[in-house]
Amino acid sequence: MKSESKKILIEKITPIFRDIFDQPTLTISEETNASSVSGWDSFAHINMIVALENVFDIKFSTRELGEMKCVGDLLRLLQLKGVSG
Amino acid sequence: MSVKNYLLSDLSKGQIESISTKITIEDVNAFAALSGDISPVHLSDDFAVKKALPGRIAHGLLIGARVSSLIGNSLPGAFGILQSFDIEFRSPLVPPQEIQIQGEVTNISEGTGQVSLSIIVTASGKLIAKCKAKTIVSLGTQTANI
Repeated sequence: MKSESKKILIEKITPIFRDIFDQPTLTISEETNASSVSGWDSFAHINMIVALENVFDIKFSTRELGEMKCVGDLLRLLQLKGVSG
Repeated sequence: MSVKNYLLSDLSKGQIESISTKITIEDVNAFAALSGDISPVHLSDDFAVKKALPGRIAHGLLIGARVSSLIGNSLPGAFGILQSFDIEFRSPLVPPQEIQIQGEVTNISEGTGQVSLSIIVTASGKLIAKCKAKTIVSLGTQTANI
């Protein structure tokens, strides 16, 4: 994925992350993961995934979610599902 | 009373489950003791009438507790965990009264197991409360052990 596309995708998902984790100034990068965001627990993770599914009208499988370890993995998945950056 | 054992694969968008249950004056008294909410609007007909209500009214969260029984026993039942719950009250409920609680599956996230429900509470056809709930439902094939 081109860096410009990643940047645009991050801009698209950042408001969702800020809302779910209730952090209005949260910034995220490809390296961001559950241990680097306060409040990213299992319930928040589910809420975030479902919010992404609803906003982008996509579905994630259990296997895809199991392989997702960081925002970079999420960006790749979003692109595979046709969410453009 | 039986408890249903829906797994995620058993549920579908639009699926509906309903229960009927009665809220009695004794229930309201017991909930006042349990919750510590002893507002006279729940315990005194005289007070409630002076507040332009038809009589003492049930605690909103007592109604919410009965909604919990729909979620825990019927939709999704034993394999569900309540994740969030929003309730909006539309009319006061004066006990004793039978209420009907109907839940409908509005969204299923198969990857996460999150199932969203829209729930309405009515009494004699009158809308008492509207609720939205999110539950996490087991993906697996466990059998009930209850």
